Amino acid sequence: MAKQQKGKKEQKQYYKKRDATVVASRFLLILLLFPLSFILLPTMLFLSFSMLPTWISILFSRNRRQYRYCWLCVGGLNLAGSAHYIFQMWFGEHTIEAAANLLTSVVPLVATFGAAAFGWLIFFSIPSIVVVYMQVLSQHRISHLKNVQKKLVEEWGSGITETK
Amino acid sequence: MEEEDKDAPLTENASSGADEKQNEAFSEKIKVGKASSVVVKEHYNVLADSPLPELDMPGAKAYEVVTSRNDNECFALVCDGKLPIRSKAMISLRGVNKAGLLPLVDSGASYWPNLNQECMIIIYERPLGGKVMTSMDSTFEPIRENILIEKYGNIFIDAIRELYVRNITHRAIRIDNMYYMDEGRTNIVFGDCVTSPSAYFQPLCCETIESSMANNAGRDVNTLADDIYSLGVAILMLYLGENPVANMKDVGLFEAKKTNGSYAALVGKRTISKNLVECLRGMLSDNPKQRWTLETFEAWVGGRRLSPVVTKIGARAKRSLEFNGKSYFYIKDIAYAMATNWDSAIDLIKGEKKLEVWVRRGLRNNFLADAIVDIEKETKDISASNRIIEDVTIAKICMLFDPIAPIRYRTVSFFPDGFGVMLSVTILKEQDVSPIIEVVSYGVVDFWYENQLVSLAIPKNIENARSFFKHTIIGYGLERVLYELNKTLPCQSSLLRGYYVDDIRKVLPALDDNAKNINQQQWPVDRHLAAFIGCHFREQTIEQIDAINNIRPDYSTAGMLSLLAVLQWKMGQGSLLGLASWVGGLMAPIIDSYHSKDRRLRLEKEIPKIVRKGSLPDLYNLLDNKEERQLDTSEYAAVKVEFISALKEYSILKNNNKKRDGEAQEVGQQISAIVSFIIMLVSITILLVMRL
Repeated sequence: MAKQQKGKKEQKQYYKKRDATVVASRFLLILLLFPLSFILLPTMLFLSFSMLPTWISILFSRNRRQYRYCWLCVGGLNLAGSAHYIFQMWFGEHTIEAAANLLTSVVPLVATFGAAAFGWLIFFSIPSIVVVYMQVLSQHRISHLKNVQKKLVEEWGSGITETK
Repeated sequence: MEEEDKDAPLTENASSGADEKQNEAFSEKIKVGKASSVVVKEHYNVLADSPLPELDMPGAKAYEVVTSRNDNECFALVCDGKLPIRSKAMISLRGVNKAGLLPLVDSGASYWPNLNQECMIIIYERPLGGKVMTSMDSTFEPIRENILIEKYGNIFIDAIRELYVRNITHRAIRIDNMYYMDEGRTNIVFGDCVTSPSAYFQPLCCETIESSMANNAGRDVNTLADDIYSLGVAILMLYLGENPVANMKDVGLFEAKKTNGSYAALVGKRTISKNLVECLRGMLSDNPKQRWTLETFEAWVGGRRLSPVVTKIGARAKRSLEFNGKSYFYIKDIAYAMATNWDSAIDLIKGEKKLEVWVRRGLRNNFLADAIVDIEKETKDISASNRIIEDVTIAKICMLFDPIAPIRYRTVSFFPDGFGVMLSVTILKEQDVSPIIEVVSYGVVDFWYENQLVSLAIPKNIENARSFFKHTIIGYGLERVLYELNKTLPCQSSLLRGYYVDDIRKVLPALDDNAKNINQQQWPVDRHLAAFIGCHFREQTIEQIDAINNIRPDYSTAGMLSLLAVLQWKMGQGSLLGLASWVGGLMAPIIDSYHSKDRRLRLEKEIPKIVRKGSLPDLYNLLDNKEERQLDTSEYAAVKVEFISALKEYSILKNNNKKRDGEAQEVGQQISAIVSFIIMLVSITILLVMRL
């Protein structure tokens, strides 16, 4: 009993320490991002809209274990689709107006959202392919094992099937 | 004997001319009887077409013999195998040429066409004067007293002494088994005594009271006293020229012997010379202790006169015991009445205890009465059925009342010495053996020995028999007792039908010859054969016989093969093609005991090659090769492990579809994330490079 109580105390102390660390790290991140967001405001504005499918996928995959890699697929291709326009601003006119022009144009939106859609497509298609591939492999192994067993019984008799 | 040996070569030289004539006669006779002549021991041609009915024995037929070897004429007695012969006596008497004994020239087992089987054929010198008396109820010219005593007395003494020296008894001394060796009918000899068990065909008049109580097969007692008694009867008949009791029935004669004594029963009112009365009273005494011995008879023949023996009758009871409507005053009579009325005998012992009361009050013998009570108490403890307990009680009380009588138990009656012969005759005649087994198993025979006036140790063979009776498995049991107690008895196995196999060396050749006549699906070893081999080849075959009794068919088949292989190897017997082929066809259980199919196929291919060599040891080495067996076992164990692991994997693959699909899904997602990430990196890099 004493040992159990001691263990519980130690566990509580550990969780308290961990929560404190998380809070501290988040605070530091906000401190860094806040001035940066002022410098890269047009980029941030553009990304906040163009990366909308990614944000949705993040929200969608939260607490869903089977979709935990979904945001990476969507986000990766969504960012790849947005990169051309970000570079356009960085190497051209990096203003709020330029960002607003891009966001109101059809082509940039189609490009970024299309890339995100492709991400979704990859996320749903590749696992199915892998599952089918694994099933084929498994069937092949099963038939091989059946043949092995049949040959062993033919050569050594049904006595080998007795597990005792 | 020495003189005879010295004379032998001289006779040969002198009779060379006579030999030629004899050989011619031999050839002629062979031609005549060619179709059915049988050669015994390479020298004696027994003519199956020439019977000699006047020399027949009850258990053997006589046939003419043609031989160039023996100077004198010979005849053969062919045993039909329905009764055991006295092989020990036969071997002992072979070649003995002694006055008073019919010379037994030779013997051997040969195929006998008349019976279509191998038979023991015994060659005797032919008695030219024929039988002294053709049958027990015929008459002949009486022999004068002085000739009977002075001439034949000494001859008979020499003959019986010769048997005694060889540790055998005749037990077939009777007037119709006595012959004149010469044509002039001056030289009497005792006839054959080996073609049937001891005293088997002796009429009641020639046997003592006790021996008469025994079954014919149970009369084997290895003492001279019974021969002396039979000789006394023979002397009486030779003196009278007839059988004095030829017209009496057996029951009447037996009762007369019991009531009046043997001498009075046999002589009756006939006049016997005073001199001979003394001899006959001594030889026919019903008390074995008072009966004359060979020495006494010899002294009498030598002229010494002795006082006549008067046999005392046992104590007479004050009052009679009523049983089965008759009154009895003597305990021996009661014992006999109980033995002959077995089913009602128990009424005397149980209930009102009439027997015990009679012994206590009528006979005034408390010691005997207490012994009856003790027997009843002892037998109650036997763990057997009520019937057996009652039978054992009756048998023991019979023995208590008449210790020198044979063991009497329900339908059987025999002297313990004759236990083996009794058993063999019962089996050969396919009669019920259970009474004999019960006698040994429930201590009846032990009681006989304990109850003798001179305490006798229970023979070892009785103890062994008891032990064998308990083990009823193949190679032991009743059959084993049969061969242990009758070492010279031929094997009674149906597998050896037609062959006289009394020697372990004859077993395999006989089986080999018989192989073509027997259903090849049948095993070449049955209960009789296993017991015979176990008895005659004990030390080397214990393991094999134990293996035969194993429940597993491969073990028992290997045991059977090993048993036969050991015999062939130890006996140095050559190729046995028939037997090897027969045995080879029965090896399926051993072949099937190998796990590997390849190995089994290889063995199946190898067997015919070895069968063609006719070698059972090689067959055994092939099929029960230890290295092969170990290899097969270890490989089998490894394969079994392999099979089980394959089975497990199969089961996992078959049953864990969901888990596998889940894992594949996760892997697929990881792959898609990596692909997406790579595309992102590549595209950003290209765009950057293009800008720069």
